[in-house]
Amino acid sequence: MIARIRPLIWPALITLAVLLAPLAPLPLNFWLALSAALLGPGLGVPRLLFPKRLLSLPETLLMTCIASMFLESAILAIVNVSGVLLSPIAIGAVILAPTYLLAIAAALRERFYAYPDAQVSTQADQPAWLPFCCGVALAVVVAGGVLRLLGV
Amino acid sequence: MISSLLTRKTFSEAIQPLLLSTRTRWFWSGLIVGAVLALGFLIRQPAEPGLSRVEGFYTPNVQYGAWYLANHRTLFAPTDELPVLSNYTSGLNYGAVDYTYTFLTGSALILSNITDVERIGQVYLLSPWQGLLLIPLAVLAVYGRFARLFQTCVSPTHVALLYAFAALPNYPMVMWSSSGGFATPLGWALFYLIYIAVLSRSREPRHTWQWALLVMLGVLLIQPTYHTAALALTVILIAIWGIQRAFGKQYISWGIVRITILVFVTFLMYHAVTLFNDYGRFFLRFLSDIYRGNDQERLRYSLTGGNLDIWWYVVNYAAVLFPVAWLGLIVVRRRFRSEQDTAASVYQFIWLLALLPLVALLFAWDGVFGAYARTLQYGTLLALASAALLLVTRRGAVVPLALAALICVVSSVISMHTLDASSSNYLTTDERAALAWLGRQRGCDAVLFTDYRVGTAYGYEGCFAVAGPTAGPLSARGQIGVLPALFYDADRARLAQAIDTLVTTDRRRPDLILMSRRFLDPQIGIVLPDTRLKPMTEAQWTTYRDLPGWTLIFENDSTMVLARRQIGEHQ
Repeated sequence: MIARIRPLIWPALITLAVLLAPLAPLPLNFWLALSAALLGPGLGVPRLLFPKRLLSLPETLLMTCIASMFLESAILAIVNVSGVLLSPIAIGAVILAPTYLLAIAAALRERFYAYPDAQVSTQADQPAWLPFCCGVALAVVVAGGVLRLLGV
Repeated sequence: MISSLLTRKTFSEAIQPLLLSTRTRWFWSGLIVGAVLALGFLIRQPAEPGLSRVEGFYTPNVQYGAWYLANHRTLFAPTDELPVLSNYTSGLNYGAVDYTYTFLTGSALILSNITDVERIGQVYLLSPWQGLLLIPLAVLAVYGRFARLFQTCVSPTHVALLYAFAALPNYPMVMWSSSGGFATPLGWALFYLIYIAVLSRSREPRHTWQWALLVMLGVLLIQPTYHTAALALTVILIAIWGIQRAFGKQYISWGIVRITILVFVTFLMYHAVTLFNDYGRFFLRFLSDIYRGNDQERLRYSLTGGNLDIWWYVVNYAAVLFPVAWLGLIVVRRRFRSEQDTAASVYQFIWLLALLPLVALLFAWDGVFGAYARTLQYGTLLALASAALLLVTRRGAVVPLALAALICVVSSVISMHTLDASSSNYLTTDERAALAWLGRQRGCDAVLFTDYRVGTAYGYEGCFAVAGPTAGPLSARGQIGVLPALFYDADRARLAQAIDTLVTTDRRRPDLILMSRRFLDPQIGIVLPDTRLKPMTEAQWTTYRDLPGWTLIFENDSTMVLARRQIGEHQ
């Protein structure tokens, strides 16, 4: 069941970030909006182009960020030139439309076409990113709190 | 029972394995990364009180475009819609070159409903994702690629260490980031994307078109974002081409190299046409730019304003020089034993070689400052990639590198906190108040004379009639004597005469003067479009205050505004 809905989780989170951005307090609102812009439009690109498990997480994230920046800048530039004002609705659509389209395209590619060398070129070692991210979050909160208490 | 839990044997059998299990080691690594990240947030905050969140100087590249987009819901015009009345406001048009930053940040601001310029500055300072997240991500991607190339495991210790190294140059680079804004770190990340794509060809030739597509995407993104990075990439790719021919090996598809060079050159030609005056400078003013060095000695002004001491340079260059020296040793002493060694080391070596002509070009362009800035920028990239390669290839490299990273992070934090260089481009609240008062009371028709840092921020009031000196053209025209008259000589007659030599493109003289006590600050001084002057003298401040033909119309704790007296108006 989880495996079935897994491809939907990230687009759903991006949608949530776009919807919550105007409601959250500063600077969380900006972070939510920026995260959606940075991760959304290019979300499906690594999965669309490369076999599963070929890329490491940093590689995947880097490609996602760069593809997102490219797609969003290009689409917003075209929208801007066409005379449409960049309202929150227009920007939400610019972020979410490629997010869904590329996620669907990636899912279809994985379903109907498997790269022949997918297993051979799998990353040699899979780092434990979940405990790593937990550590990062914990340290940021604790160190940030300490620095704030120190009045720095 | 409780005491038995604390025995050394119990610890080594039960607790130690838990603390050192694979998953726990990744958790410790995350803790280190998080702590370094939090330090990065600390450094981004200007420690100096009385500063606004608004930057001047090259700020239009950083804040103005996004601010305009957030407030007008359309991007300000790339051509001719903003009045360019002097090169003090041409920067606002130049800011439109950074489309990626402008669209990305501007759209995030619109979505989050932030339109106030102070708040935009605040979120910029609170969101150091470019330097502290994007670049480390790119370095880790390079590290992962090296690990796969050499078929070694990705280690949590290496990840933490590389994060510290990648974040380290971004602490001092905050100063450059303030001027280059988003563009510089994005340019770096794209460098690495292309680097990964290049390396991939030596290991995984099957995904050629996918990597080629990503390279093209990176090229298209980097061009409107950071054209000096495009110049650097052109040089590096041409070097790869040359070295591949020299080695007689093909580690990257000729197609990728040729197509990428073609695209780079095409875009460079586009920039050369649209910014012809800038590019023409390289050919036409090469000698006069070098000659400026003598002017600087004679006129007692320097490129940095003397606000950075030797400590700052040591800290900055430590992160670059050590890995470069190590790379030099590899190249000189190590025999390439395997194909992987050759591929990785050759690309590092190419990078080092490509740095030399690049720095030479930027020396011709921007003088010593250009060479220094680019050595730092691209040398840092090389250093980070070298550290990743070192960690993958040398088992004993972790301990010395960890020690070096610790020393560098601590010294960087201390140096940036004590020098507070990151705050030098920010306007004070007094300067912001003076500009806001001028915008409200005098409208935007009157021409304002001030320095470049303050003058560019007048755009936030919707005013673009700003005039001021630029050292390079004055030097080239033999009129460099205007600068001492404006800022140092304390001679009323010469000062009044010097102000009248400043004109806008439609030949209007200044009607207003804005002077700030910040111009007397040894860390800030006077900022011109092409250089930073030594601080103004106290005697000159007094001279402005009692300048014949001018009336004091506004004053607060550290700023004064004077207006030209009309004919028939008495003091």
